[in-house]
Amino acid sequence: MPIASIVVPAFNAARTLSETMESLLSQTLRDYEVIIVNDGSTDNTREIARGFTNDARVQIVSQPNRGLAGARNAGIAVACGKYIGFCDADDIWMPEKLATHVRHLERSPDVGVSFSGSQLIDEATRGTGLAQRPKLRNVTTAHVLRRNPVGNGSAAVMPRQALADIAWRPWFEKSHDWVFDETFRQSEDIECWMRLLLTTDWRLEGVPGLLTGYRIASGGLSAATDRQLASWERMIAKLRPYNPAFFARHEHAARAYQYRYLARRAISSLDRKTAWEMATGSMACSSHPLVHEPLKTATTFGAAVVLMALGHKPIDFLSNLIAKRATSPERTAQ
Amino acid sequence: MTPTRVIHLVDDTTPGGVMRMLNHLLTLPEMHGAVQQLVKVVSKSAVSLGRQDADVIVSHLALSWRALPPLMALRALNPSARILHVEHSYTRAFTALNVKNKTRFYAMLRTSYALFDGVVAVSEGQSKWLIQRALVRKDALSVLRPQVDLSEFEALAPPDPSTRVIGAFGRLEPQKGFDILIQVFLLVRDPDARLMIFGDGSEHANLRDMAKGDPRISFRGHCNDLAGAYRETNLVAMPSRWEAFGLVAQEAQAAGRYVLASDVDGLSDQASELIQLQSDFSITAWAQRLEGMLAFEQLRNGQRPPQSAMLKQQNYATQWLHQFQSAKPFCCDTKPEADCRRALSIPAIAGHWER
Repeated sequence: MPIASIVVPAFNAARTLSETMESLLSQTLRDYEVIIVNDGSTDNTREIARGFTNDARVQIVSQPNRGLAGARNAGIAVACGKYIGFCDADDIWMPEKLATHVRHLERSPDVGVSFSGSQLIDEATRGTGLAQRPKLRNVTTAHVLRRNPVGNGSAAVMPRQALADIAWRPWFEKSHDWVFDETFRQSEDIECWMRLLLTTDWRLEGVPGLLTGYRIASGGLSAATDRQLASWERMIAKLRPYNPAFFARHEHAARAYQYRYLARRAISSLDRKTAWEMATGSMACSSHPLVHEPLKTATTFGAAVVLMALGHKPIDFLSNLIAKRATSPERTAQ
Repeated sequence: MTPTRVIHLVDDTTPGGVMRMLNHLLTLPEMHGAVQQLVKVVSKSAVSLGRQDADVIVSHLALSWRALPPLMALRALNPSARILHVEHSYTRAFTALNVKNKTRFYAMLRTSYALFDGVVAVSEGQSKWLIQRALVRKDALSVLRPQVDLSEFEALAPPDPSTRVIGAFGRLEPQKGFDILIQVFLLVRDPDARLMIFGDGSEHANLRDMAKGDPRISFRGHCNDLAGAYRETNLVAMPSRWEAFGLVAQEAQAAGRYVLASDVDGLSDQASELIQLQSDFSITAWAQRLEGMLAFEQLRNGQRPPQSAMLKQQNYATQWLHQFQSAKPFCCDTKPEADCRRALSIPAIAGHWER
């Protein structure tokens, strides 16, 4: 029985799966398995995944498409490790990532989600110079709701028991228990972390280092803004009954951060209207981001104003500048 | 053989699970002759719990940092008494929803539990949590589900098939989740369905507001004739946010009423033919299930439900006797200093022990 399992949900990931798998198979910790969940891919994800099964540590689960949450649940159902980590099929784990999290979890038996910071990488796996550097310690439930320190779907490693404590079986489900709520196509991560915090006593804690390479796909994402916002609101509505007083106190600030995040995404895809709506929406919800993260909030608002008033050229110029600095040799991701 | 003298310390005498369990425990026929029991009410702000004239001291107190010094004094002043603690309050779901700094809270619990010779969990769910978080040593922990006299409930006739009454029993506090239940009931479309809430508490006004004047919802206040209240209901809803054990589910089952309860802590233990669990607090899911159960009540038309296995512990009294009498102090030669202390102690006031 391996000490850890890594679940890799893969949907049409032929382009990136090899790179992801190479990073997972060169972990410094030796005792682990990798479960690739081919979630109804229509490209040759399956063949590429097969190429890795010479390695006895790799197994493939195939199912008709269920989405990210469904793929992770299917992977969890067959995972044998005492600890279970997740890595999306376009992201990358640094070699010492698994070892670091396992050490952390062994040392802290009440940590239910061990996470790390991430470098943002582009489509050519180059560092973009940007990173997610979340707060690592004293992570409260309110902080998770506002800032989701786990950050992305490839950052977390969890003890199997924590997953078991929040698993349930909907009456219509035939094949496996649900840990992630498969009725969500977005916000499934934050829903899971918040449910863990609202129904169990597991803690979230981070380890230092940027141990994940999180790939930012370029272009055309802002179309999904409305859907993203809707599923975030559905997450709030679903979990509010657990502790209405908590949500009354913290959901406005959390919503402000959610709008600000969507504003930033709209800015990077140069969507003027959405960027403006989200930036002003954020300000209207709560002053928490402005008070606690004045620089980032002001920059976001400033960029939304510039984009609205002057169009995309100044933004283009600035992002090129950042990218140039990032691709200088000592700053690349790998 | 002189009977073992047991003192139960309580700090909350509001009518509820703890007092009812104690009343039952004190009147168990098996205890007669073997054990003399006494309930002592202590103040929550007491500086010391002092010397207790008893062989066994059972704490039913709520643990906290503030309660720690009096407990330490209790341990120090009663070195040869067997001191037990029954954990009526804390559970995993309680911690999730009420504790901001879990590390500090667990430090408090570990320190407090370490003062006792034994800790009694009131449900399997709670006991698993105490072990998982290493709050109590495994060998010091036992599970004893509270019992009350259920004969009144067992004697009740099956529910009246012409009514559709959902009963809710408990203090009107956020713990009981009646706010969720009211939102759920507002979605139940049946004009003949009724929701009767038996209990009182700080949330009364809030809950009344939430009911939006729906004439189907009634607040019946605290109720002394519980069996009478169960007689009026067809099924019982328990959307508790946390629940160390949840006696209501046992009462309802004894009364032959179906129960829909949330799948938390001690309630998870109790799943049975009659006690059904709902894994989340989705308002629509609860409403659908309650509607389904009301429809089923109509179908079964007052028939007795299948006799489902009661969670009755066969040897409840024996187990408590064992708790009281194991490692009986004073009788062994290895503790001469204990004998000395006992010889010096103030003798029990005559009559104090006779109940």
